[in-house]
Order: sequence, then C-alpha cells, then structure tokens
Amino acid sequence: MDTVLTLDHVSKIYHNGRGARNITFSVERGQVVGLLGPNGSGKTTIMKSITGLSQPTEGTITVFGAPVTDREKALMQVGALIEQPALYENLTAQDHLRMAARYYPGVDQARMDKVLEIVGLTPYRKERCGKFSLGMKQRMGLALALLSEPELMILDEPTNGLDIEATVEMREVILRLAKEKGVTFLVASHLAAEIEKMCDKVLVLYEGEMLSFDTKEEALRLNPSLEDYFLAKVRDKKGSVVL
Amino acid sequence: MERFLASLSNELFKLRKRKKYLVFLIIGAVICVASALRVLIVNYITDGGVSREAILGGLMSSNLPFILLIFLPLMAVMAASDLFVGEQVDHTLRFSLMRPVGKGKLFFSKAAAVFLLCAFDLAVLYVVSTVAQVGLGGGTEGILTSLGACLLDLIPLAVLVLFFCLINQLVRGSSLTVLLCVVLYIGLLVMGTYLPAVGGLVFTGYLRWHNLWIGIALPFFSLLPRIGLLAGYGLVFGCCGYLLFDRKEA
Repeated sequence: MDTVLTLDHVSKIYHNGRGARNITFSVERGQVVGLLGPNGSGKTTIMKSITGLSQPTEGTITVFGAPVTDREKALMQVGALIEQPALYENLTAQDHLRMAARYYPGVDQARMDKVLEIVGLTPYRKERCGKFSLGMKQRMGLALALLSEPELMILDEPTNGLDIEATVEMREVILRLAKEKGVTFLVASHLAAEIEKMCDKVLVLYEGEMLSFDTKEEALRLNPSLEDYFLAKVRDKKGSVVL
Repeated sequence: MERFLASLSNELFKLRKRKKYLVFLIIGAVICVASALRVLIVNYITDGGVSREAILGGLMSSNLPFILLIFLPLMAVMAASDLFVGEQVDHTLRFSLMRPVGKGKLFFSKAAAVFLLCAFDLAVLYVVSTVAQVGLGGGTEGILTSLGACLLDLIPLAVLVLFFCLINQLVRGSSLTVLLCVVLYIGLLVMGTYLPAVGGLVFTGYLRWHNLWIGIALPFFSLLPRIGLLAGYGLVFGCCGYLLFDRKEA
C-alpha cells in the first residue's frame, strides 16, 4: 500500500508547555484513521502541523512524499477542516468556493455545485456565511475541503455542531469516499463512539503523548468498545489510577 | 506564478467586497472636485479677474499632496490591516494558509493587492480631477504632467505599502496595528520635515517622488543614491515582512 502521510518524531510545544510530543505514525492510502483523545490532548496541534498551519518544534512530516514545508506540493492533494471553518462573514458560500477553486486547476462550476449538493447547502449558495448557523458553517468547511477532490482529508471534530441526521450523513460521506474513491481520512474526535463507527485504525492521544496506534480490530479484541480501549490505555499510562 | 496570481485575485476580490473602500474613494473624489470649486468660488468672491485656465490648470498637481500624503496612506493602512492582522484576528487567514500556495507568494500577493488598490484609487482621482478641470473650464494644461507625476509616485507608494505590511506582522490587534501604522507614518513625516539632517534618509520624504523628476532639472546621477535608498527600504520592508509572516501560525 502507498504511504500517504508520515509523521516522524514530531513535537510541537507551545509557550504554555502544551502541545504534542514525539508523535510517530504513518497512514496508508484509503485508510480512515481516528485520532482519539480528550480536549487538549494534542489532536488539533497534530492536524495543524500536518496542514502547515503551525510549524513543528521537532521532527518531519511528509505528505505524499513531499515535506509539508513544500506547501505547494504537499497541500495540493489535501483537504482540511480544522476547528471552526475559516469563513469570511461578508462573502457568500459561492464566493468562498470560487476563491478556493482558483488554487486548484480543473475545479469548475460543476464541481462547486456538486460539493454544495453533497453538503446540502445548494439553496444557500448566495447567502453570506456570516448568517450561517454553526452546523451550516461546518458543512461549508467540509464543502471547501472536498472541493479539490483531495486524496487526503484531515477533519478535526467534523460533526461538531451538526444535528443527528447530518452527523450520520457526514459519516456516510466519509465511508463512501474512502471505499469508492480510496480517499484517506484522518479524523479527530473526543467521542470514541464516533471514531468506532468510521475508522479502520485508531491513534490514542493523551496530554500530548501518543499512547497507542492500533487497528480497530486489535483495539476491540480485548475491549468491548473503543471507549474501554481508550480508558485502558489511559489507565496504563497513569499506572492504574482510576479515572 | 499561477498560484501567486490566484492568490492576488482572491485578495483583490476580498478588498472589492468591502464597501468602505468604495465609500472612501467617493469621499476622495468629492474632495478633489470640491478643491476645484473652492478656488473658483474664492476667485469669484475676490475680484474674479483671474482666468479659469490660470486657476484650474494642473488641478491634479495641486491635489496630489492631499492624495499622496493623506488619502492613499490611509487607504493603504486600512487595506493592509484588513488583509493581514484582520484575518489573523478572525482566523480567516487559515482559508489561504490551508491552500497549496507558498507563504511568500501569499505575503506578496496581499501586499500587491494593497498596492493595486491604491494605484486604482490614484487613477480614479486623476480622472476625476482631470474631468473637473476640463469641465469647469480650466482647459487641458498640465494634464500630461500630472499623469507622469502619478506614475512616478507609484514607486514610493509601493515602499510605503511594504512598510505597512511589515508593521502588520509586529502586532496582533487590528486597532493597535492601525494606530501604530498611523503614528509611525506621521512620526516619519514630521521627522523628515523638521529634522533636515535625517530628512533625506527617511523614505516618507520621497512620497512626492515626481518632485525630483518633474520641474527640477537634477542630473540623473545625482538621483541614483535616492533611487538606491528607496529600493533599499523596499527590500528591507519586503524581506522582514515576509520573514515574520512565514513564522506566523494560524
């Protein structure tokens, strides 16, 4: 299998001492990898480092064989939705897609219409994003991430702000793209059940450290659920201190 | 180059979508026309003996100090602040940073967008002043000289834009950045005016660049150090601004 993403001893420490330390893992094409950890465990830090939004303190990141510092090459096949989508309040959904499309040759109006349809925002294409609800902004962020038909999607809490129906739809979109088009996903969430429903592999993060990186089957071999798996890993780390 | 142009188109699009720049331009145009009407009214009230050609000839040239020293710098401060620190504050900088474009291209496309906005405004004000001059019976005297002056003044304007872009990398708050840009700009202008010893070394002293080239017959070689100085300022502001922008995290 092709390796899409490699993190080699990556650390990113912020001034307050938080961040992520010594993270090493790689992701193969078509996999759906879940980053599982509580708030402040370093999930977003890792994702920001992969997308070049922040620079690692140590270590190297390669995306499709190119170092992430080579932004034009590394980010060409990457779609990302990190934290809240970055949307201009005074611009419409269509404006955002047009601006993003300028960076990707081959993205035409039909593709823009298609991604709006996928995320269910076609009726709102001419509305300003400042008027969007949190869930609509999240969908818009996903539309922007999908626009260039990326081979690697990095999604940070993708169901944040979505209702139950939209959450299920989002999950189905991820699984369908992974299965039918071989798109690789790196999905971060603090909800073990969400990760369990869509991921092939799970990476557990806790207080900036990587506790494990197993396939879902391995994780569930000795544990009834990913939630139990996560708690077991945290207990191991803490020396069997009850949470 | 393709990515740079894509980024430049986006930055210009963002500026175009902000109505305040249009309002600001209309105010500038009104001031240019009002200055023409003012001299006509003053002439009428006094004795009215001076011909319209004499008082309105070269209207743009008489408007240039206001445009170059007040109007365009203010416009550049606002635009640079919107595209740099404003986007950093409301996290929309991520929109561009998550795209496959180098940070250098992103920085210089933003700076180029601010410059093009100022250049466009200068062109509009030139047209408005010229139309006002001709329309109010001032004839066509000095029109070509004013055009040459406008084109020459684009050079120090580019340096000024890079200076504001650099300031935008130093501070985080939008209001603080605007304030700092304005205070530093006024400080440099005052320093250049009241301290003749350093006046020639401060880049703001060259904002009316056309004065060196039009009307004063200085030999070209005596202008070379000044050209070098301005180019040096531009290089330093551009490089430092880019280096600081490159280290930014969103």
